[in-house]
Amino acid sequence: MFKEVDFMKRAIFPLPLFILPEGYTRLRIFEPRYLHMVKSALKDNTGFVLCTFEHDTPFNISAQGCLMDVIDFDQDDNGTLLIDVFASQSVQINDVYQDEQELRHGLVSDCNAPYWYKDSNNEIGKHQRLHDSLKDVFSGNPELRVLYKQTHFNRLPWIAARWLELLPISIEKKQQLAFETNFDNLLSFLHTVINNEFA
Amino acid sequence: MVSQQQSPRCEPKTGKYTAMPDTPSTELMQSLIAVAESRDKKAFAFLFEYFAPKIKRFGIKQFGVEAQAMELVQETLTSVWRKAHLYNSSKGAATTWVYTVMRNASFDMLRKMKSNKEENISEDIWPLLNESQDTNHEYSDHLEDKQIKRYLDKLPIAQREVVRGVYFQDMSQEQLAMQLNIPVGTVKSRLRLALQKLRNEMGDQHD
Repeated sequence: MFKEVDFMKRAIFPLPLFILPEGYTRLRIFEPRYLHMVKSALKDNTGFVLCTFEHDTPFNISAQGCLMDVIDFDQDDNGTLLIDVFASQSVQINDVYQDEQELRHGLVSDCNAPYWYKDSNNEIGKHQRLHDSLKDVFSGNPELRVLYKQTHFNRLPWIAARWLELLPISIEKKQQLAFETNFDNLLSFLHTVINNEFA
Repeated sequence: MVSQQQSPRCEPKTGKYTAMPDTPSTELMQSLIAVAESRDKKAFAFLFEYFAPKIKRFGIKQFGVEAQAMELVQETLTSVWRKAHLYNSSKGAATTWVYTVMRNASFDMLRKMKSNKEENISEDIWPLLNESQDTNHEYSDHLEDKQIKRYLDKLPIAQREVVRGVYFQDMSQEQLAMQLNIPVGTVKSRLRLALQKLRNEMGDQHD
């Protein structure tokens, strides 16, 4: 099997949403340009890029996004398309342009932000409480269990990433925690919220 | 102080400008529908010509600054172009709908200005409530409504089953409180404390 070329051209969908690698989410697709995007993502098996909607960047695109695989689809009661997507990898977004139907495209390349996601120790160790509380969240919410075809409760970075997605804080703060601070700070943040630890 | 004169930047580049003393309701409605159904650029130009000066005047009244008034014109009319398909002519006049879009855009701008200011001066990092509830946002239509999930917990089980399967993006403070089995007030103060700590840590790094 060969490795993908370094740069891939992909459609980009900016949304006020925060997602990290190996996260899942469900989207409602109704605008023609995004229906088109999903259609070609499935046809050509390319996926598309989901990124955070920014107010002050060209085409509202954030620097980093996630390459998404469409793993399931459905319709809501009004017949609108629902898709379940999985963040297969983190990507950097460059050279964005809009086509005639205002769908954005860009050249994306594999990136390892947040760097702690792959590089940190997987051991749960003293962070058992983060593990347990996230398990509780999953068992208390059938939607999450349905959405997540795969979970990795044995990996600390996976747990931290899911908690960061779920917490009720602004997207800006989530980005700051994920990309601008180190893993220890992030864990300490989670412990403060979840555990009330002042460590 | 507030000028009634239209800025040349507002004028459409049609070369013609006809005064419209009465609201051309039917034309506006047809144009909006044409934009929704066939992305009709001429129809949009007509809407632009009619609404831009009015939105600008509102913006100047609201913000007192022309640049921001122009931003409001742009925000509003971009939303009109993108969201035209959401307009339902049986529910009201085109003007009503466009002015609602304008008002929302204006609230968003005010909120943004306010939270920027708070970021800059306050001890408390507290824009998180405002931002995450930005439900009028164009793109929030694509996210299955978080609010639904919030109300869901208040519904009897039978009804809940009907609404099941909604999107799960992030939790409300209430949900987190329930999940951790602590009062909402405690969640709030922990979040505040955690954000404060984060800020101190990041500050230390940068110093």
